[in-house]
Amino acid sequence: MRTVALLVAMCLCGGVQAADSDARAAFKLGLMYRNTAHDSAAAVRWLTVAAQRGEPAAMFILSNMLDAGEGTARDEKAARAWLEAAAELEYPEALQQLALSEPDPERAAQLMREAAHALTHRHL
Amino acid sequence: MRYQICISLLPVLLSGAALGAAPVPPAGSTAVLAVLETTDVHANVLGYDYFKLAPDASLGLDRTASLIAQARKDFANTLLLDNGDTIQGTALADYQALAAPLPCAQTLAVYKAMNLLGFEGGGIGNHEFNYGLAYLSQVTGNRFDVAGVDPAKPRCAGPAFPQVLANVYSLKTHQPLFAPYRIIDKRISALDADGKPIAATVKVGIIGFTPPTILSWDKRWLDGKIYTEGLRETAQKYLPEMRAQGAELVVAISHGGLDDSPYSPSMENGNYYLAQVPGIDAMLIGHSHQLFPNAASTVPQFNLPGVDKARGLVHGVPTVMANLWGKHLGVIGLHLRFDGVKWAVDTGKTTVEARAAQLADKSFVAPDPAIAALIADEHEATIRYVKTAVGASGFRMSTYFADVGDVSAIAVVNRAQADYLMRYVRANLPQYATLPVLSMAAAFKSGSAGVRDFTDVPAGPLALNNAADLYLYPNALYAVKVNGAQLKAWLEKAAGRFNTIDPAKLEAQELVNPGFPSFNFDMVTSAELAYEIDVTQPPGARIKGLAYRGKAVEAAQKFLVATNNYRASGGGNFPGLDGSKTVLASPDTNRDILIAYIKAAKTLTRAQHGAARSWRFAKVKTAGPVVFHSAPGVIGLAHEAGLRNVLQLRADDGLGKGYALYGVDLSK
Repeated sequence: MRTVALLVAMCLCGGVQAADSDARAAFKLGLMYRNTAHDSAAAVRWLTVAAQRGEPAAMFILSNMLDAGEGTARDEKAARAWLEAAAELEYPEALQQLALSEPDPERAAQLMREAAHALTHRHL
Repeated sequence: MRYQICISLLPVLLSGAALGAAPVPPAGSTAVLAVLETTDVHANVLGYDYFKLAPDASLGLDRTASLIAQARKDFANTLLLDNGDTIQGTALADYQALAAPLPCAQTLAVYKAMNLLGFEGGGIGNHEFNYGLAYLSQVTGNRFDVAGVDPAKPRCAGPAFPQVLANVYSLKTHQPLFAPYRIIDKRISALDADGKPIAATVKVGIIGFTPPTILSWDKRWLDGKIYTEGLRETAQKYLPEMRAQGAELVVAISHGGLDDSPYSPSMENGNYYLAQVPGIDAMLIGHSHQLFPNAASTVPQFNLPGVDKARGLVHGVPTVMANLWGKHLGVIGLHLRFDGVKWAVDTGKTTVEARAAQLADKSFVAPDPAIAALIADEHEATIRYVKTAVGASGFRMSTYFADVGDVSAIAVVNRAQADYLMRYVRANLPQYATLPVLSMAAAFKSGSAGVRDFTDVPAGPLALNNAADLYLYPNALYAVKVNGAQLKAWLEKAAGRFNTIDPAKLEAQELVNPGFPSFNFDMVTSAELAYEIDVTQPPGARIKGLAYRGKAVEAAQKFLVATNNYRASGGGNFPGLDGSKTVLASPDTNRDILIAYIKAAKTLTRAQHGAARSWRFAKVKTAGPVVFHSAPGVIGLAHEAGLRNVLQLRADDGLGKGYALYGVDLSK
């Protein structure tokens, strides 16, 4: 808990208007709230910050949480929008998720091939 | 400039001026030159899926060929250029690079097709580096003076058009790896000021760029051998030089997209800044696999200040991105005017479009049969390669009964994944060496798309396309570190595959919840881990007797679990799996790991690779039948897998889709 508190303090010093390069830090903070502090509402808030600053991994998890109504009201439309935003940034898992839920087999196959391609030059 | 004389080009040549030196045109002459772009073809020469071994009309350079032919009818003058990511991406590419390395005297299939189509220039994408520098040197017919490549080697066959790349340099010589730019004397048909047809020449400079991020993506090939420079600095250096050497037009062929993050020389998608360097008349971009221009695009990179997504302008520079796999052709129509000294673009008249191979009625333009004829040998050889045995199996591996405990098609995947992870940990992660290694896999094909949609690999030789059947999805192996409670939560989530069964009910009850996809029914198949799934309990309370090596798993006990990037990063929304537990993000795909495992094992046996069951249903006597649906006539496979509690109730389940109705006796 101390670690979480410290990180919150660090992030708040910069305020919510932190630079775009802090998207990754906001993502990690969101995960920490979700997994360690078990505060889903705070997790959603930080993942939203990260997602709005262009972090596709945060968009993907936020999409899951919105879809499940975890830490927030269930919102399938918003979940889908974040999933598509992550896919547009070539996040392989988002492309795969879209492929898996796509009813048109031709379109699904294309999305899956795009997921395969995106995986070959992903940023770790 | 060398012309490839081919059938598709003949009309252009015949309608154009006679070959020979064109005189200086009179002032006021005009011409239209269409710059045509292909990008991210990824070795899709023919519309064909080599793993399904079936045609795929939605992609392929053979269909782009028809778009090129049409553009040549629409415009008196065209300049056909490729943006790169050309030589990698299909089994054909792997065959020519790895399985049967291309002889020096032969031209790569995709370049053969491009030669036939009369390409006049090309850039180099990041994926060109995927097979290493020696291979790239060979297939492009370029000598590289870099560490690891013999500069004295003969120049091999390559494309019949110049390839340019300005921002990649040899660490040994500090010289660009490729020609950074070329100035093409482009013969054109023009009109003089009175509207009379004349022949003329316009000097078109082409310059190429690739994402500097190749240094991390292909580190193993490039580290210590080359370095990159930023797009902006490179353009500032070379553009004045190109103009000084007589370039009247400059076309930037830049493999990358747009990004308005603060400029950095190492940024992946630097074209937002490249367009702001003065002196570029047209920009061909790629890499992001998107369409530009596209008024409806919601993609962030096309909704930036200074980007006109409807007209195809980036800071005023006409720009096109032609999607991927030959699905589109970029067309930039430049209206030229000769001022008595040189040709210049009348920018107000420029047109930018990306033309699709798919028509409004969803059908596709016809492929050019000359391409299939040209690479017939390479195509057939690739099909043979995909069918080549990498090993053999002594048993049939299928998923018809995966929901009731047949692990014949799943256990080998888990074996391969666990084996890979154990070896990786031993070599690279000593801090985890004492942790038990488990593996999770699921049936990816379980009949949801029709009665033939099951994994079914016959006993006998195993080929590459069989491996694709055993591991369908394009995943990479990821490993996560979880504790016993998290492991149990994972298995609980997976057990959501089943409906809650009421033992007292007399009517038939469906076992499987079709709303819970089979690819989320992860399971361990190991002699070391055991658990029961109690389907009489609600989701979340079904895993019973979870034990590792005969001892109950404790909540705090740590495990390493091999899985895939999708699951480890949050796919399926499994509890605690959101990237935070990942300890290994392997660059190797699960399918390649499976292939390597089969190659090493040589022959798979049911006892060793197809029988280890970790889970069983908790025994319960039900008053009525518990039923599920699968393909008809395969009950023998359930029995071979040791499932004596399964029987076929009806060969036709009566639902009209060809499935049979099976029953499972949960008391046995």
